[in-house]
Amino acid sequence: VQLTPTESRLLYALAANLGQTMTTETLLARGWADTEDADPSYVWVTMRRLRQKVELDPNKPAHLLTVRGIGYRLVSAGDAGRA
Amino acid sequence: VNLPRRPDTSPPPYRAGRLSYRFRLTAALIAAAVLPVLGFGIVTLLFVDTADPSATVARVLLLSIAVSVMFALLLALLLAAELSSPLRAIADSVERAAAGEEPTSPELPGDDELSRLAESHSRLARDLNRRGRELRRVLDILESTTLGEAPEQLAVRAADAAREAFGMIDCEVLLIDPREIPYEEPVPGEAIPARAVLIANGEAQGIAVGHLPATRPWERADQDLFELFAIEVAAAVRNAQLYARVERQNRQLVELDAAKDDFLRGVSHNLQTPLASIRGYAQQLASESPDRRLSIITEQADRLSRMVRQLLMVSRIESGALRPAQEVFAIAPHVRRTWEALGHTDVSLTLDDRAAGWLAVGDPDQLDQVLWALLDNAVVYGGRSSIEVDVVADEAAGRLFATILDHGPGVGDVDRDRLFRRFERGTERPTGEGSGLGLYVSRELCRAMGGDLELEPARAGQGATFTISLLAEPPEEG
Repeated sequence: VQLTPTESRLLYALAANLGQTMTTETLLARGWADTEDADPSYVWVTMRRLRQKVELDPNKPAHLLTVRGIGYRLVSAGDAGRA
Repeated sequence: VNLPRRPDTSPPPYRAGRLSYRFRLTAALIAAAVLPVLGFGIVTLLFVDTADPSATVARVLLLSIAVSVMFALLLALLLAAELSSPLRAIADSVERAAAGEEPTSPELPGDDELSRLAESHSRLARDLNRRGRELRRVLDILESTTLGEAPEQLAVRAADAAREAFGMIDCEVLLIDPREIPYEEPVPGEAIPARAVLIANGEAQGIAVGHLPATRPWERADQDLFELFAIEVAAAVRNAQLYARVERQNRQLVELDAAKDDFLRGVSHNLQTPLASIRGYAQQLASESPDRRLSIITEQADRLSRMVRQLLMVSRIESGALRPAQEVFAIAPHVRRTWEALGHTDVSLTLDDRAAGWLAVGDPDQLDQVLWALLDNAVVYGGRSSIEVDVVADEAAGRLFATILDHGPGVGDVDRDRLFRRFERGTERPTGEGSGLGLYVSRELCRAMGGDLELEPARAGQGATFTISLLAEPPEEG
């Protein structure tokens, strides 16, 4: 799978905080530090594109989970059931 | 080049009567064998009184004559069949040869007309067969020519083929003017000289010359076959020459193209470095003592630097080295920033963002280059009239469209087709401005990102209208 630099940065940030929810704001700062006009929608769209690349079924994500209104969380395969 | 044609010296054809040969032969035999006996019988009938009972001898005589006539008739028929059998054999042999099979060559003893006929027919059949083989051999050789074979190599192979096919002592195919080879007179008892001009497209490509053993018959049909061979070789040689020329030109073009790319890379690098220092010093000076002229130097250095980058971009596009990023970003902020960087403070820009938060997918740096070229064009060619930029999302198509419209004279019909070509500038536009690369590079950059750049149809009251389209995503959380 070919990830863009921004997608890699987001995935790396989520993996570093495995199982913990990261706010959209934090992810925005991680992914778009050099971009002036970035807003939360950049994170939403990039997470959706990332899911399409790494999830088996992007419509029923097993790893990249949305915590509605707050942010995102990466879970490993074993934790998926509990999440 | 005209082939010398020998005059037609064939004698008038032989014409026989209406009756078949077999019939006439049978008739002759019957006449020779039966008529004398029949005559004797008639004489006997006339002078002997068969009614006389004492004429027993005469009756026996008449009966024996009748039996003799019957035997003679039978014998005549059998003989006729036997005598025409060699002719049938000759005919069969010729038919086999004509059908391309090995002739049977019937042999007849003696030195009379029939044995000569048989011999000449066998020779004819053999020659026919041999020429057929030669032709097949020659065609095989010519068919085996591969594309890209050098003409000289082909000539050598053709000479070998001719030597083998025609049973020559020696043969050469020379790719020179045929007049350079003097005509050789045949000397009886010595090797027979043969020559044929290689003609393709009415042009002499060379000549095939060789010698045949003195014992080998070399007749008109053989010469014709040799000339046919020469013509086929000429066509193959010509094709090989044309192919070699195309290959050579191709190689030259590839080399030239590589040289051009190297040149472009070298030039852009050598221009960027001094431009960077000009810009740097101008900015430094401006920070010490602000001066409008220094900011113009900075702006123009930026402008030149972008043109040089476009030039470099052309060689990247053409070598297929364009690898645009796939980031997500909003278009409107890029329009705003590019416009500010252009520094045309005397021209007004109206930006209408109706993208509803949709984000483009592509390379933001490449989009900046496209926007810079389109906005700069809009200012220069729009006669510094006001500019409108609309950003619209097509949700069904999953695309974003950015339209850049000026209020200048627009694009003439003549220019529409040429506009996106390399190094082309509009005919109705100021000369000397721009590199002629902006639109070409811009369109290629858009297409590399999965989008496009198009010139909208002209509309009254509007100037030139360009539309950028890019792949896009909706701004939904999920």
